[in-house]
Amino acid sequence: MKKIVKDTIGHFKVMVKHSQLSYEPSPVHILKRMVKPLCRDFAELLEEGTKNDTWQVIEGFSMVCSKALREDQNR
Amino acid sequence: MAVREDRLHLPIAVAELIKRMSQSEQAALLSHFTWQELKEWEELKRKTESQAVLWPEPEVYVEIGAEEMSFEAPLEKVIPFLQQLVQDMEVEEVTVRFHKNRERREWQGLANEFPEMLWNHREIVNDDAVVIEYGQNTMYSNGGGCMMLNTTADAKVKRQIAQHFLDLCGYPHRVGSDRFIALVRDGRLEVLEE
Repeated sequence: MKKIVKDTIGHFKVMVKHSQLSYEPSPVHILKRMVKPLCRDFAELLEEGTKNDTWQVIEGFSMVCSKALREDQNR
Repeated sequence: MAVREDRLHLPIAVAELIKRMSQSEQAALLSHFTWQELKEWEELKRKTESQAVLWPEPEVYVEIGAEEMSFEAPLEKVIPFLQQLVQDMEVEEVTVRFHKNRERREWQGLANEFPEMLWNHREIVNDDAVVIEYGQNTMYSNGGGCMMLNTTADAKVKRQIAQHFLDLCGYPHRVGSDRFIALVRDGRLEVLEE
């Protein structure tokens, strides 16, 4: 897996994880610490990535989402 | 969605007013409401109380999860903590991915060279998203002390990391559980789950 793919999935996971924490992050926190890194990853993927990279990113996102939903059901 | 404190002032004031009424005054007041309304308010109060704990952002936060650990640290503790992880995870090499002048960069080096790297790039490490690979473990440090560690480490190591983190932040606590959540608000450590 390419590093940009791994990092994009990781940054998405950071965002999903924040929705499960025991406090509510502020809008500035969400923007600076989660949205901005993801936006930069997306821009790099569009510029330098392949279709396969994009597919792998979506697959990774889907796995993160499935896991989060399972955890949510088990709470 | 959590309930913000400023939205709680009116209900708290009304509750206080009712508390100060005599029994006959309370009975007269309650006669204006239906049983259904009272039940709905009780439910709202229960939800409000359970959600109020979510707000605001803590000064320090640590959570041990199954595959990841989440942290919120004061800014000055970020670099010492990232250095500490080298010892906790017993790695000899570290890889760091970051952005400088809008370009993606990668640094790879020995564990003993890592502190100097962090110090030389402290402005980026403190404020921007940086990805650090400690062997099989990946730290997503998002700037401002917001961090998530994706880890394959065993439970003992994860407990040790959480304990060292709290020590470093000035809130020593013996972490005795694999499922652990603690936060610091108004300078006080609260263990939410252990």
